[in-house]
Amino acid sequence: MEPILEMRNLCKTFRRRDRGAVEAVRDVSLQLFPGEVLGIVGESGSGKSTLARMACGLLPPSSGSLLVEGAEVHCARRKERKRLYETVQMVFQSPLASFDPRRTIGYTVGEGLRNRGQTAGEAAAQTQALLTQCGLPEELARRYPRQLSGGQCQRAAIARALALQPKVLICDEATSALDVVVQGEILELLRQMQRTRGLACLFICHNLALVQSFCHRVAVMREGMLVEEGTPESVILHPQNEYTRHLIEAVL
Amino acid sequence: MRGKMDKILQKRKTVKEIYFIAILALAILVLLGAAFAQYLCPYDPNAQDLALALQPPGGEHLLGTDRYGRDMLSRIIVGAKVSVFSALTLVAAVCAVGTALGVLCGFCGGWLDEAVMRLCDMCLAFPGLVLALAVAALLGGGIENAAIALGVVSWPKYARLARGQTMTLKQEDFIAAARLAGDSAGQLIRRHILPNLAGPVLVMAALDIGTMMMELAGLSFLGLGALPPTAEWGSMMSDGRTLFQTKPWVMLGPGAAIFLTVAVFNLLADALRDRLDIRSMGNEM
Ligand SMILES: Nc1ncnc2c1ncn2[C@@H]1O[C@H](COP(=O)(O)OP(=O)(O)O)[C@@H](O)[C@H]1O
Ligand SMILES: [Mg+2]
Repeated sequence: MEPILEMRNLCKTFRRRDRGAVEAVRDVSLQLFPGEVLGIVGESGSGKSTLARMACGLLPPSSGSLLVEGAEVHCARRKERKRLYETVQMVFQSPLASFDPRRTIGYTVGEGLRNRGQTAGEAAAQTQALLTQCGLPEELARRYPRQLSGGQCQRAAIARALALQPKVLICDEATSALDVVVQGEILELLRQMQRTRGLACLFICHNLALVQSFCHRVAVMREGMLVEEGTPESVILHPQNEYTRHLIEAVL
Repeated sequence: MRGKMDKILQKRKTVKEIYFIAILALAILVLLGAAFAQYLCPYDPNAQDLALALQPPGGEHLLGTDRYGRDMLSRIIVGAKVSVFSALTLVAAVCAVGTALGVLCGFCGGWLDEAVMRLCDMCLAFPGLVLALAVAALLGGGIENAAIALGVVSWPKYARLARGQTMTLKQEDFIAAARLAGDSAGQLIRRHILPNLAGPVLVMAALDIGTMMMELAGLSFLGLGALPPTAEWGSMMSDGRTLFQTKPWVMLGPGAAIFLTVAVFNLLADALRDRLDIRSMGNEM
């Protein structure tokens, strides 16, 4: 089977004025297959978010290449980036920060639809349907982000990402900012959407228990490098790598 | 306990709301007064009658007359048009130019940013007064030329504020999310960046209306602004300068007008800042 999203030797180096360069991601190669949930774990600062941003075209890689359904995407070109956004969407860590405080939820969820040529009316109708699917009451469309709870906001963020009918959904610690109960609800929603829509999912998380229950495959990152990759059972129950063992012990 | 707190907070909010509306109404009143000044004057502001020169306040002429026997009240009312509207136009122009350049710099970065920021430094390095003198020498006097000189030294403030805000906003997740939704750079700026930096920029502009009025009046006072016989508060004060010991009303009338109008616009700026809840404005300046 052909991977829907493939990263080949991706590297990202940030140059800072004060303290030299940071190699946030070093030579990471990963394949994501249709309908698959791939977990990425690693301590904070290990380059997970940087990898996620490169995978959806928000950040141009320093070197390496990104392939969507076997075709290389050049993120420097706007046309190709747009094509990438049609396949890959992202849910961010902080629910509130991913909504423009001056725009209503309905505006934000429908923005991508209008950008694709839908009229305001069509977009509004589809926004309502999406909000309902994500377990939100319709009148929420008229509210502003700060009037929503964290869980509601994250549901709306999932609705926005799904509005564009992506084939790949990247969740960058999408449940980390929420309390445990809400975390479970959001996870359930993600699981349901993943199954019904056959989404491939890049699920970034530092909760190993979540990863174990949700993911088909797990990759472990450390200091920008991939140190281990395999099924959740093999990685978590029989870690081959010293670092993974540490990571698991830290949780238990 | 909680209910009581909430009630007090609610009440405080209502009081603030009423205060804001009152100040806004006052500012609008000043603007309307300035706009329809010629219909509000009791006398022709430029009619001279030397027989009535330097009448004290009270009686026929409520605020007295100047050395040519012109009615002070009428001149102050008509002066509002020049003073208020030249300050307003100047602030609007400077705010538009500065913000546009600042947003472009903050969004695009690179050589454009470098170039515009160096230009900012250059413009700020000029002392406003010296520049006004130079402009007056080159282009002649007149309130327009005084405004040009003030504009040159005041747009960088807006450019820097807008640039800093844009650079901060650009890092936000909601901008990344809007990119993923397919927004182009222009759409990002129009839909998400401008609405989010409008608050601080508006507060700065409201504060600047008062400042600009003062500075324009100051330049006119020095003879670098409005030319006689135009009624303008700064030049009217200048007229009364030599008479201040014996006939203080000639200078105090326009002085009070400047003071009160500047106060209204400054209070408006403060109320606006409170209302928009802008705490850390000026961090990027
Ligand atoms: N825009 C940036 N500029 C400079 N350094 C960055 C930037 N983004 C991330 N980094 C650095 O890259 C490293 C990896 O960060 P990140 O990808 O956010 O890790 P994680 O998501 O795993 O916590 C960190 O050391 C971080 O300081
Ligand atoms: Mg992160």
